[in-house]
Amino acid sequence: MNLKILFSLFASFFKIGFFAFGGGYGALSMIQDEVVNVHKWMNAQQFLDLLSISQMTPGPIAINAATYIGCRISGVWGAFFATVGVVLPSFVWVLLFLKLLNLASKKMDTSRIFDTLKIAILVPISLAGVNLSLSSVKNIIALIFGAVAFLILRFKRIPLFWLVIISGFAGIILGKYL
Amino acid sequence: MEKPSLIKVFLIFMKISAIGFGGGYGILPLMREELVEKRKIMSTSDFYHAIAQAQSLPGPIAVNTSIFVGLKLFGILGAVILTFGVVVPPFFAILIIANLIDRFGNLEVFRNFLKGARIAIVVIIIDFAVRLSRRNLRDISSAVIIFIGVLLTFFLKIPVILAFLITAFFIYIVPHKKDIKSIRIDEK
Repeated sequence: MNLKILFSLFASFFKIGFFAFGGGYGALSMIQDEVVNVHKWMNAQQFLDLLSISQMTPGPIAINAATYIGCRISGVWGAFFATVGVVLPSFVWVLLFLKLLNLASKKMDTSRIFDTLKIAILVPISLAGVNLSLSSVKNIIALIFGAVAFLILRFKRIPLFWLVIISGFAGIILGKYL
Repeated sequence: MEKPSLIKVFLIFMKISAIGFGGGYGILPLMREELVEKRKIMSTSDFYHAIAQAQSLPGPIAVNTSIFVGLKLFGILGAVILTFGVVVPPFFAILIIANLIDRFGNLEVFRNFLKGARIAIVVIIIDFAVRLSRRNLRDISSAVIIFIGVLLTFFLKIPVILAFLITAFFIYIVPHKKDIKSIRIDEK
């Protein structure tokens, strides 16, 4: 058990949770940057596999991702510190929010600040989309596959769980062509 | 509305988290079903109020909602315990799955399955970005700032959190078309 790694996991995931506007996917875009780009704990493909697994496992995706990454890097304790790290900021924010609501709502428009942050989170999310597309869609077949999946999701709104499962089976059939 | 015991609600939250596939947006409908319809622990409007607040703050939506529901029903201790209820089942599920992957992860079938699933995940993220912009992005100036932000961050490799905060700052100071429109509606 390496205390330095545990602390660095906790600090990373606390930071991720603290800035993760837009819910789980906001968190994922932050996790992608922190885990793949900054710390290089895993590569983009491993990160996508982790997301597939998170999507197929019950529970909030950001929690699943934190637990899995922590576990991979430093076992059960790593999983524990990463998970606590990503959950704790929610408490900080809620308590801060309730305090601010009493103090500031008369003087300034707090809802406009939150609205702005909810729009700005599109930058990390779009970046995660771009970076992950580049590392997973490598040929024309994968591109067509992705386009079909996107259209199905856009117009039929099937549960995401099933989209991942069906795509997985399509992956087994297409195998080496992807 | 009858006041339930904390233990009972804790167990309900554990159950929901253990069967709620697909992340926060898979969990919220189950919470609504249990809390509002079946057990009548919360009113519909209280529950939606909790979700609305949870969505405006950072963090996993299911965790934030648990905190607000816990605070509303039992105070701060309730918030901690209900969050614990939501976090514990996936925590152990993931530990078990990580273990299984260590054993069977090298199978050809499993690797091909993940190849396909990866594409689905990318599609889900892009779809989420599209839905988020449809819901929140209502004026051209913000859209332009977001676009420039994405381009600059991609090519200059700016840390993502910094890029996020700088973008938010610019969106905040640039006057919005939306504001003008809403004034016009008020005038009518």
